[in-house]
Amino acid sequence: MNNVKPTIVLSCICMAVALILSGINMITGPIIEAQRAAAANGALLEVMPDGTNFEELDISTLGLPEAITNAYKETSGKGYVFRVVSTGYKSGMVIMVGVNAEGKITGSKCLETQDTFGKEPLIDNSYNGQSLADFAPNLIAGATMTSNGYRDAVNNALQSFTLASGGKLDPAIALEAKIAEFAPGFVNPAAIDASGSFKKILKAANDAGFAYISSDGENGFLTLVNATGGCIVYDAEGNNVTDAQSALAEEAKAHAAANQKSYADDLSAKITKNFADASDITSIEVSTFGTLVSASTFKSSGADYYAFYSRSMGFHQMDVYVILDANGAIAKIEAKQYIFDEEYFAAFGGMDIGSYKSGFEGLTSETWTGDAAVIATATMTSNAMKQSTEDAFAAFNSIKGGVQ
Amino acid sequence: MKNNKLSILLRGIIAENPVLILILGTCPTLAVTGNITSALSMGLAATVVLICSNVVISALRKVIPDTVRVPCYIVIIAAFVTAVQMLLQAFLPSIYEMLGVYLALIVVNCVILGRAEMFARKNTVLDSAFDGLGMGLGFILALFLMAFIREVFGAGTFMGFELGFMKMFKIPVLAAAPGGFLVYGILIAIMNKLTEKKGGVKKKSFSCEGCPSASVCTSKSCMNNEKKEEVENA
Repeated sequence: MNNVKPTIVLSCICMAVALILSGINMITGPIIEAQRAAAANGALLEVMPDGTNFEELDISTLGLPEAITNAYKETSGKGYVFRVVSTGYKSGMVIMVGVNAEGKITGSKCLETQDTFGKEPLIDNSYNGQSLADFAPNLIAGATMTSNGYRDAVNNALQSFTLASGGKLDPAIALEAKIAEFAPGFVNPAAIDASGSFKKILKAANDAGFAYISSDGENGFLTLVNATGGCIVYDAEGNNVTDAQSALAEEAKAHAAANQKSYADDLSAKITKNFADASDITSIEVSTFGTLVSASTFKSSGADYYAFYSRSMGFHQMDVYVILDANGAIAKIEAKQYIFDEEYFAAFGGMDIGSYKSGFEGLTSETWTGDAAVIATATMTSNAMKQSTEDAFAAFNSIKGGVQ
Repeated sequence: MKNNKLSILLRGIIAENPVLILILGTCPTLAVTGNITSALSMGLAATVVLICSNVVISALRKVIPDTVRVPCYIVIIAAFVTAVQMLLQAFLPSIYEMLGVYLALIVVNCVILGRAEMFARKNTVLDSAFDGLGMGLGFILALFLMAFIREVFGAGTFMGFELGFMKMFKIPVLAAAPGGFLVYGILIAIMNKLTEKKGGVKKKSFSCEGCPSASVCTSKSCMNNEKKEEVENA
């Protein structure tokens, strides 16, 4: 009998405790559960405060822009959240963007960046309420690159919303991806303020030209203007429709002329430096979309010459001048920096600047193999020299082709 | 043995400070005193459990049979700890995260079991509540002292805020585990010195009595046994 009382007491205490704890659990359980879900969806909820539950989508099947790394769907149909990578000032940014079922931004937040200015919080959530139709960039003074990167991320998220929710992108936007194909010399085209008929205007970082994206509601057009004023208009299928869309071409040319940095004086200076008796220096227009930023013809000792100024991307931004004679053979090649520094060349024993430069001379587009541009252990610089030379040949051939 | 309520309360804070004099609850003391916020949170959580368990154990002191009292105490203490844990997780998740596993370990905190065994089972509910509060305050004070020294001098911050002037003088080892032992030892030494001047604390009078195994202890040197003999001889 001695063991009965302790057993009963202990059992009673245990039962009472169990009852009380289950009571507390009934109160705290749902709260804790909600917090767990919130922790899991923390960043998602921040940009879509209305959301409750999210499921991750398989982005490989949706054909979203490359910048989208993750896509989440709000399970009750309130919208989508996209994790977007973008470029900032020095480093990439990771930005979460929420888009509701009507295609409006519910929130945006920069999660990661190495940029030290810390301007991202100024832009966080500033796009709320905007949709693809009324998208307006928010640029913060003193943080242009960050602002641009942010804007691209938000724009990508809005496009992704259209795609993820089963819609089709405005054809003009799809055209943006074709800039690299049609204008391979445009280095890192970045959006600038859009104006006129154009939904988006992109400027090549090497000043090689502008790309204009527009749409007449049904069809999208990509208009390219190179630094010499050459212009071409493509439709969404990639057909040349310059003649049919001459109004677009004119508008784009006018915009480019007003915004293009001129390299003509620079090229003239280079011509007169190398050809003391150069005369009749005239800027010309070329119809190629390479790395050229200026092209001229001039006369020297009674012969015609063609001078091209190319800004290709090597290890650094390069400035390369290629002067061709009337037959298209290289008369002179010169580059402004890096590769012709004594110091740089000194590292490659046995190779001297004079012989490197003269290695190009006399070559034409037929005899050009690219070997002359090669500097051992300086691949990027070599490739840039090669590209500049080839762009000059291509421009020359287009001019000659036009003459014929 | 009549106890003035105020003296019960004050005893826990200085004279019988659970951490610095009774040397109880050493594990959480060393573990959570790396920063002041977690030390205070831990102190508060333990105090709540201490007061509640003291009250309940005291109220049930006539019901709980001697043979199963330790399991009963543990169940009661565990219940309060679990309740505190659930409430913290629901309403103060950041503190719950910060205390981590040490929150659950309040169950086996010797201060609480020690007070149940040493005080609550022999005293009235009100006295036990005061004892719990006093011990709790003593526990908080000790944790705060240690955390203050370790955070301010070890990490150069105060409750997470950077103290610019400490940047050049901080002693990182204090914030690390060995620093915990160092600070703890030094504080105990200071406390001993201080109480010694006031005539000293008769540690022996509670060192064995407070031991959860005191009633079954067969050691000849066990103070509890001496006491039992005294009672028997008298």
